[in-house]
Amino acid sequence: MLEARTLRKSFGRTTALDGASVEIGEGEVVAVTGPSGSGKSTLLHCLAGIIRPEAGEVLFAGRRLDTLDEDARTRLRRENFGVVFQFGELVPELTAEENVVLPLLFGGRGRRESLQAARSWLERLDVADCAGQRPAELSGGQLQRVAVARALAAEPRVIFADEPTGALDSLAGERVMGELVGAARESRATLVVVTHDNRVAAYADREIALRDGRVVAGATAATGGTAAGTPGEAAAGGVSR
Amino acid sequence: MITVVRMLARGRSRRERARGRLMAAGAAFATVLLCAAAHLTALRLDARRGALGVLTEKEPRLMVALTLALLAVPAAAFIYQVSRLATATRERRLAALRLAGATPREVRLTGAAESGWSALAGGSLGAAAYLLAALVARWSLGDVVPVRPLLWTPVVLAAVVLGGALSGLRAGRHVVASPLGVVRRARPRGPRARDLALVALGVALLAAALTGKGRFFLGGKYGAVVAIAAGAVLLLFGLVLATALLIRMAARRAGRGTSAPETLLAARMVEADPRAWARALSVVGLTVFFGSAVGAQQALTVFQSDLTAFQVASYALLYLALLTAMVTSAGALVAHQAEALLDHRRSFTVLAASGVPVPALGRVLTRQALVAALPVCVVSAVAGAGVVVLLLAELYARRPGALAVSVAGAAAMAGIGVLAAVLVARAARPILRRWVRPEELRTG
Repeated sequence: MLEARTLRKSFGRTTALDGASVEIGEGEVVAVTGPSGSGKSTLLHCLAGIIRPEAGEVLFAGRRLDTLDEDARTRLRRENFGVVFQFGELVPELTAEENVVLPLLFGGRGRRESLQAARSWLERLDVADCAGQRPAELSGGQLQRVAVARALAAEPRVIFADEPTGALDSLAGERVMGELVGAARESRATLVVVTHDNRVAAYADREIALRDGRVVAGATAATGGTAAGTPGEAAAGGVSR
Repeated sequence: MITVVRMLARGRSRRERARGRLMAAGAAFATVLLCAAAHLTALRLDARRGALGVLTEKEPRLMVALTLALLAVPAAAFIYQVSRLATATRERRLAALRLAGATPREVRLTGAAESGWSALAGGSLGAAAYLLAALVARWSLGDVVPVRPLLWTPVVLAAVVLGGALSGLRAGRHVVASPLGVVRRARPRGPRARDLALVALGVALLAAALTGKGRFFLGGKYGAVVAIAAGAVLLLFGLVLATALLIRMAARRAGRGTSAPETLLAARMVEADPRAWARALSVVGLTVFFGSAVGAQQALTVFQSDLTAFQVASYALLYLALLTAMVTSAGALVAHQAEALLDHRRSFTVLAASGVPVPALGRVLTRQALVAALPVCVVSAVAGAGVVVLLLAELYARRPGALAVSVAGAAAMAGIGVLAAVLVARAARPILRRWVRPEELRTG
């Protein structure tokens, strides 16, 4: 489904990726781990087509992604990818429901259909009560679950999550992860989670470890294996579709 | 205090330097306008009648002086709007000052002193330029241009500097800097229905005076004139006060039921901060109000074939003043647009990373301008033309066709106001493209 081949990317004098290669299969739940500055987020952004690597290739469903122009990558992201950020990053002026509706409207769906989809996802993630509230009125956990709903509502083929529990306490973090992994498995979407938290990584089928911009473990399903004590299967029951 | 301000001035960011320069430019413009207005009232032109056109007559001269003084209003609005640029950097600096041991009062005064300093720099430049121009005029026209009014220049400069300092003080009034370096923005009061009270009072006074057939229940004929003048002034100021409420209502209406994501986002962003748009658009509204009123008055003379040169010159000067006011208002809109882009940069970046095309975000900017400017300009145009049409109802009844001309003039003024706002928003699109950088969303 997703493949990165010998990616290189620098920001000024800092090398973020130094020949990183990974393969991620369809429906797989993968955790990208490593210390701060190891290039986790840069790898995720390259895979999601948010940034272009200076060297190497990124393939999605067998198609080169890094050679596409900005418009084509934007369309690809809108139609195939969902992104969850560390702080939710909801639009502060919109209500929770409108935040979920917005990408659907931008994707060309009608208002009624978008509203139905948004309400359904907010209900599944147990934040339907917050539909009319603005992000500033939500708790960290609620905010992140709305962000998950926003990423999943368009039924993407791949969900990218950049430190989705980084701003949450452990209880709220577990709940968000459980729901994110559960929803991804139910919709057979691929999930790529960037984290430096072992408890979050434990939800994944495989852990890709990065150090100094290089993949040091788990580059492919054959080299990675299932993470020990995966609570992902149990968490799948957290969300019913 | 001066030492601290000078130290801070040396370490200002690029955006803060731009704010200082823009404030200085606004202050220079306001100083020149006010000095010219003060000087014009003291010209002795009767001996050289005809040398300076309409300025040779005392009454038109006073009208031109008043117009110049009124033009200082958009300049002041520009300074006020510009003083809000780069507020994030400013707030961080204020917090750092608190950490360094400054009291909240000292922090506020530092903010005011910074703005006052920019106003002083610009005002001094404007005053120097004006003095030079006045001396050249004196050299070429002789006694017609008296020297004594030039003594008003320091007074004008002091007023401009005070205005600059006050705008700096007001710009920071919602910011609370704690010794822990945390900057908290106290929630500003939202617009309320009672903001319409002045409009209602103005309309009531006008209605009472106009329906009384030239007489008012207090003071008779004289009372009617006072009531009309007071009603018009109250209506004008009421409209300025009610701008935020009007914008919020229009944004709420636009956001409800739309299926266009750009309009939804634009409407909600405007609805969340209608005061910022009201600040930027209030002078546009005033210009549209005056422009429509002038247009309605001129509609009666359109069919007149014996227009005097004096009338033509007066109208030309009026339109020049309106154009200057509109250009200055557009400057305030540019400052607002820059600040709004900075405020929404993160949201726009996240949306772009999620697959929203940047051109669609550009359309959000344009629709924000449309949602906010349309109601303000339409209401201002209707009010401006409406007051004149009602006051001169008898003349309008005698000149069929004048009403249509007046309506066309008001529509044109409203259109120009909306167009100015939309063009400023469109001009911001390249900046949006540069500022929306999804790669900045990296966390590690």
